[in-house]
Amino acid sequence: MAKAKIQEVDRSLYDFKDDESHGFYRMEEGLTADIVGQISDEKHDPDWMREWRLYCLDLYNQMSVPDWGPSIEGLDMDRISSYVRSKSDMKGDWKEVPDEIKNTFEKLGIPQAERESLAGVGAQYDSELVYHNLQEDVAKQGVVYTGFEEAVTGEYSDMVKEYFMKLVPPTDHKFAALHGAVWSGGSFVYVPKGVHVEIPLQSYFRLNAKGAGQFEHTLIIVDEGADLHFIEGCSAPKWNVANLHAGCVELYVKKNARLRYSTIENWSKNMYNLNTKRALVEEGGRMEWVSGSFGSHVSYLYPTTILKGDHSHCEFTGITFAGKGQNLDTGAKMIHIGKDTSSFIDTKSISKSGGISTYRSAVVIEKSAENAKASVSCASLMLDSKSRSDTIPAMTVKTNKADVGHEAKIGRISDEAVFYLMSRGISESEARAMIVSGFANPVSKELPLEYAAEMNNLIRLEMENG
Amino acid sequence: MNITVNRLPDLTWNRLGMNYGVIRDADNLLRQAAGIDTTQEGLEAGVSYRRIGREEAQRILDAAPAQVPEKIVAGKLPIYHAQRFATGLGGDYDAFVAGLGLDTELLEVAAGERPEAPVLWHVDFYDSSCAVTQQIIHVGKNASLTLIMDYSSAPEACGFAGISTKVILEDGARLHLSKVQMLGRGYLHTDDLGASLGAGADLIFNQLELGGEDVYVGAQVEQIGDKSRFTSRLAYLTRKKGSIDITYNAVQRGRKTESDMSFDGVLYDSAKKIWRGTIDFRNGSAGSVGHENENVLMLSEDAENKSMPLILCEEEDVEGQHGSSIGRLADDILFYFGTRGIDERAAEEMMVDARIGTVTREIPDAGVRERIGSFLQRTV
Amino acid sequence: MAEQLLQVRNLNVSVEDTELLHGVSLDVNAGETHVLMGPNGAGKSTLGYTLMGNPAYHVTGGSIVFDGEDITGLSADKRAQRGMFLSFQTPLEVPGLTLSAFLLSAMRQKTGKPVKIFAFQKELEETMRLLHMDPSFAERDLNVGLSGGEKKKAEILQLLMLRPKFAILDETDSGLDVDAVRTVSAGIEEYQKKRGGALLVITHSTRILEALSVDYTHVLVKGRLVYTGGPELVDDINEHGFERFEAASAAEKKQ
Repeated sequence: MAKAKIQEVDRSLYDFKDDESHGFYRMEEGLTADIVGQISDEKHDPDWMREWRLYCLDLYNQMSVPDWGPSIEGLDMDRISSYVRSKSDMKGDWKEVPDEIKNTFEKLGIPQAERESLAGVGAQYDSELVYHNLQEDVAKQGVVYTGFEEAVTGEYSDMVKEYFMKLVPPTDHKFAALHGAVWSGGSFVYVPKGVHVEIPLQSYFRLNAKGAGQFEHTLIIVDEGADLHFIEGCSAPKWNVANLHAGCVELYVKKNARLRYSTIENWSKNMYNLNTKRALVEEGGRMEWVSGSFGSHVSYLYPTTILKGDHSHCEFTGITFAGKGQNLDTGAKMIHIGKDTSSFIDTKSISKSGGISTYRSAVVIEKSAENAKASVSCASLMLDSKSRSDTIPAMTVKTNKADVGHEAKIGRISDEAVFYLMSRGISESEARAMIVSGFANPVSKELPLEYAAEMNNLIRLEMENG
Repeated sequence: MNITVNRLPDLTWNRLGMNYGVIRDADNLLRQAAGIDTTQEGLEAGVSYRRIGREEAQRILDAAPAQVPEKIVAGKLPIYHAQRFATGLGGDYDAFVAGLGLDTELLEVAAGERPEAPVLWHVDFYDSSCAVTQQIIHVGKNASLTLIMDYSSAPEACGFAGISTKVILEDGARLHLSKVQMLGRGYLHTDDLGASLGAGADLIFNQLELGGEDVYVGAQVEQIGDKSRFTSRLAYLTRKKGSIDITYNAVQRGRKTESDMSFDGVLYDSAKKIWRGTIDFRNGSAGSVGHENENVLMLSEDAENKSMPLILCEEEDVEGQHGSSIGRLADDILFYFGTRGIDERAAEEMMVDARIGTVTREIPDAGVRERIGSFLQRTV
Repeated sequence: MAEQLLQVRNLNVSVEDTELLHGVSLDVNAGETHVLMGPNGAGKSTLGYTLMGNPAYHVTGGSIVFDGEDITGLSADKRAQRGMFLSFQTPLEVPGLTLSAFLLSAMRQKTGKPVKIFAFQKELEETMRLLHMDPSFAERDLNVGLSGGEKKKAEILQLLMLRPKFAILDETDSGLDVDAVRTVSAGIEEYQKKRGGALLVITHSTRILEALSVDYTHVLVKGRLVYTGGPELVDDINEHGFERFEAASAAEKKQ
């Protein structure tokens, strides 16, 4: 039944010719209602979720891939079902870890024992304990932090149902629909009114433990006046047998609440990272994104913030480092709806050894957003002429009672700066690495110390590669 | 039939509605449009004007420095567009103009000639006409020309005024080109520019879009030769339900090329504007520099502004920079004017005059400047 | 008895949510010259901006009366039209707007009448000569491409042309070389002596004061006026700095 319907839709899409649509092309789908049903069975989905998955599958089969941005031709859409199913193969051993990730571990100085344990799913390692302690600590304040499957079926199921995929509807784009159909794993966080969580919550341990990184769903609700810093689990380099990541992050920042969401992403370099992140900020709320993109083969990543409430505010600080074989298309979207809203985007991108980095953004000031202020500053660094760096920012302003500013710069490492450092006895490669770290400093200074140190290590490694 | 123009060199989210502009009902225009007489004053020795057929025009364009269609960049979905002699409005518009089967006007400056007086090129669209004109401006090696083109009509007239200008600057050539649009308030206006610059060539381009209702302007400047330079200043006023759709691309291919583009606009009433400005550093453009700057003054709460400043880069040794500021007059400007006793309304008027004035003063002909002044007096 | 010009009463001023001035009171009579001194960050420029009506500075308490009228709620242009003036530390640059067109427009707005062009040009030329300004500056864009010193001169030029009753000079001498200070001082002296204008001179150096006759000196520390003295205070501060005022301010706060 389902299959026949899909084919019908297919044809109509082929027949549909509009002279404003350029270059849409369709790919064969390899995902069936049976596979999606199996996921529901395994996860003991409630009925509404079972139906939701099938609804999303239908949408997924109808939608086209984007006609802009990096090419995802290399992504074998026939094998979508195997990417979805591949999580059961995650127990692979250390030998299967790609060399470059192994090297990263070596250079980061992570001990052999720990490395081995990382490769095994069920193994214990020190961090587990840290995680549990943290959980106990925050639990006392009434903070909820659970795995997403647990949340769907557990005592917060009503809350999950109310918020799940409301901010990122499956109709948004093909990979959001895919996510809706096959999501697996992830976190649910609820911070009650007025609670300030002093220590950042971190999620990567959970992802490792459950081995469900590719389609994880993160839902965070920071209630009125509450405060949270959430660090997404990419600090330790992740690796996967599969090569598609279509996660989804939905963040709700209530009245006068604050949420900081930090990510250092270092997927292995065969990954297609088609991740969707979105935040909705109510009156007086404050959203802060800190985002580092180092891994993946292809990335589409544009965390979106909807400044709905009056006086709400958002800051986005990001860095992208595209090395050999990488095509990283990253940026941010800011939608101003409330009065006196403000947003700041500050990004850096670096291209090296044939890597392509694209900064892409959209700032939209709706007519209702009186006295909105938005500013965008993006800087790009080209480290050689094999690489590519594009800046594609869009600004839409529908009221004159707003101030919108944009600044973009592109350039190279200045010879004078390198010479200055060399004249102080620093080697050229070290000098260049120092300058690039300095360039990235606005991002690293927003991160907790150990993450900042790790990010600088990543930059150093990237500088040595190629 | 709709034609798409002003396509963004590297597409982005379709739902923003900024990837290209659309001219609707183009077949209707095609049926009605005809050629139009133009006048040229100040043709000195060494400068020739004649009308040529399509084949000769094509031969001249093909002889320009390396103009090849292109589309593909590895790892990206198709960017750029295939057009033999690239222009801002693009290939669909070329095909549309070609469909009219008009002659091309050819203005040539012989190698080494440097006439001092500007050539004044006037196109009067009179009342409610529907007309298209296309020309090639060919400035020979080490030659130099100042050319001022202006388009006018009766103040309340409506119609279609289409322009297609292709510029070839040989090595060492210099062109100071001004285009001044003072059409009636009902006009659909399209003005396309494609330019090919040889080594050391220098293109200075001033564009004033002051009248018309729906306006599409595009410019693509191929800086092929080493040390070629492109400087542009565009100022526009858009009123009532009018719209303006703008694309400028500086494609920097040669070594040590320079581009500097500035865009100043004022939006009144429920005017809508889309602007796309691209600095495109190609592999091999080592030592090149590109700047672009955009200022939009929105003087009505119903106006809508869309801006798209691109920097594309595949060369390490370059320097590119973009700055934009969009909105009402900034508080610090209003305060400064205020401390001198000037209220908000007067400050706005002065700032509008200042913005148009920075371009007007670059037009080296007092008569044209006066006509601009009286056009503004009549319409503002 | 001197004619009252400006009365500032218990002025509290905030920017965003931070209070920068706390209960400042100040009287300036017609023709008087007041000097406002104080360490960096004391709020001197804040006071200047507030008196002139910068919308970023919110008066949360107190009042400003100018020429018998409460102007606390007036916008900057209304204050200027009533005879106030502020010379900026970093004046605005406007490409496309010439200095003379700008001045003409300001004078027209102030009087509501057309300005007699010939007389205006003559006065402009004379004033520029007094300030050692190249006459071509009149037709150059407002402050665009001018050096720091030239910008300050252009501010004083506007002061002389617009003939306010009361002018606030915000760090007009900072960043100027000796010659420029002398020229600018001569301009201010002209305003003070020949035109009888009142002045509030914000400065932390004394160079600009040498040529001027000072009536009062005020010291602002941490948003409070802590001391008012005569012209001799300028030399005293020049020699000893602000230490004793800062100590006094701290002691006052403790009580």
